[in-house]
Amino acid sequence: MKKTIKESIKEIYAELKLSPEQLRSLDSLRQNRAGKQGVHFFLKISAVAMAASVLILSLYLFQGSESLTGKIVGEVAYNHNKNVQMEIKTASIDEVQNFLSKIDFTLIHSERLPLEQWQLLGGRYCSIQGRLAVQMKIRNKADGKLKTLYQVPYPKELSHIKFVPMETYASGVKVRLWRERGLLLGLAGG
Amino acid sequence: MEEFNQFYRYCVALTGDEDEAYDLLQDSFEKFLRRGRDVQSAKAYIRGIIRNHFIDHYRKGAKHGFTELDENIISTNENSLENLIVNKEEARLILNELDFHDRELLYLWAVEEYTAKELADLLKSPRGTILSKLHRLKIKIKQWLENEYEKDNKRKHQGNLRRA
Repeated sequence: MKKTIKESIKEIYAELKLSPEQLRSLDSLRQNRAGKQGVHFFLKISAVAMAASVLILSLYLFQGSESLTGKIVGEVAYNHNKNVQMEIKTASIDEVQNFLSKIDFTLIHSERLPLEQWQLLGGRYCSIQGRLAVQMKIRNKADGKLKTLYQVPYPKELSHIKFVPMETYASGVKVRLWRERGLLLGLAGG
Repeated sequence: MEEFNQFYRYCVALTGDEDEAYDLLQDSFEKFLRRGRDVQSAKAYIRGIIRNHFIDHYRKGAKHGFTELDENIISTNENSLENLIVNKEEARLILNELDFHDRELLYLWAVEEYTAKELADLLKSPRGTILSKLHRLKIKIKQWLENEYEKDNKRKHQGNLRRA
């Protein structure tokens, strides 16, 4: 049966639902907030102590995640500087996906790298933190500059933090990292 | 509870990713609770928090990746998109191709059924700009569909040649 775009889009979104655990978690946030209205003084003190513990724990976790992102940045820069030839030369991300058949995730067109501005040149396997990843070579259509793009499933070790897109330098290379559609993406090049 | 699902769908429309959508919803809801207002009466208010939080969080990306509106495309037709015939699978692929501005617009128009006037108020844009955006979106989707049909025809043609 033929459907209008409105009907099809509605159906897609109607299928999206939070899991019972996620709903419970959001509801408990609401209830906790309501319960806080009559908090007694000693409870406030406890809350301060708890907050301090959480802060210390967060700092500990943050330092751990910071060192992990530092390692990833280093690996991205290292892979970029190796300048290894692509295993498949193609402008199609689907062909890269099909050719690199061992990868267990779906490569994406990043919203940060619109197709009108960037051309894909090819791809190869690489490794990020011991996980099978994909390195792709891309060219800026305006200035012809080459960069390498990395895609790997978002590491579980970083799941406890809100990952903020970052930009830094390693081994003389500008590296950007960000999270997109369940993947960790890296971009290297001047 | 259904309100949570509604906000979640809006978060998916912005992020394009279910995991990130949940993170965004949780952060925004916490922010909302800290400000201390009642959820039942604050749909637009929460949506505003979600949108602002998303834009703040993705501001860097917005500079690099999101396409600009071609201001030369002008439309006065509110029902510009209505007549497009697109099946669910095609719609899914189209959503994957769009940037967050277009995905959000499509969601608010199709799922929440906002009029151009309501969209203009919500997105703080003139009504004319909203109509142009909807029209531009229609052109984009039509082009995408045409490309897909072309690819499909080529595949069929090559299949026929092989069989012959």
